[in-house]
Amino acid sequence: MPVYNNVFLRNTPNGAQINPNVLATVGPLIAVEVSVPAALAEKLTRENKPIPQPKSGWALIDTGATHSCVDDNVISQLGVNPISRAKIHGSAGAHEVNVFPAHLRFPAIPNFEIDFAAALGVNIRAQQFNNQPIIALLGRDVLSRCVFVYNGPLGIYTLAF
Amino acid sequence: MIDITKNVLAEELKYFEDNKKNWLETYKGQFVLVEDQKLIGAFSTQEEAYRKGVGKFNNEPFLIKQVVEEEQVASVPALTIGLINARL
Repeated sequence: MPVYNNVFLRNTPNGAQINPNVLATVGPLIAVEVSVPAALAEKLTRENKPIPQPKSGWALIDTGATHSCVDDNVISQLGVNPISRAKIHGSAGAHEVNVFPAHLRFPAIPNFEIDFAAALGVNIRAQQFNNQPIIALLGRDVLSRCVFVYNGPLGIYTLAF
Repeated sequence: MIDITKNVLAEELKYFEDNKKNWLETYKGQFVLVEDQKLIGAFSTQEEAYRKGVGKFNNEPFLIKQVVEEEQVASVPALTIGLINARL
């Protein structure tokens, strides 16, 4: 089972050091690439059509979310159409959003990709870290395949698949 | 290009709701693939249904929905309470 430890460092006069405040401030982020699902990529390849380039950013691991989400602007750039609608609790009660198919790749973790995720399309891109936007939330639908350990005192988290 | 924030699957969703009672008897727990007002098939996973849909309809909109009595309402508190700046 591949194990990924994400250590959050802060630059100091003595060099980069582990700082628990970084994890507490930004949350458990992981670099992610969102692309079209493999089935669509294969179809486009067979038809000699260009495959949209993957979109890079951060995914925030969100144990409070039942479903994973992908930023709707990223979905729009990939040109993927919705496959369903889902009801979601909002501040003004339940309402509906589109559900999109997506392929998720995590460059920091070799050989771990989620070929097909049905993600809610929402606008989450306003938040940034290191000049990269948060483009996905990983909810409990994805976490159901993982072991996730949040180590607050050390300022690291561990993800195993 | 389709406006991805709009409900482009309204017809398919209505067809699903109109037939859900019958489908609960034959396809309960499965994922049905619906295009326009036609049931294309029932599959054990969303991915299987998507592969079939893309093969048949390319990247045109089609509906994939699990046949269950009561649909789960998604909960993403980070969006709801504004921890992540979102448009809901």
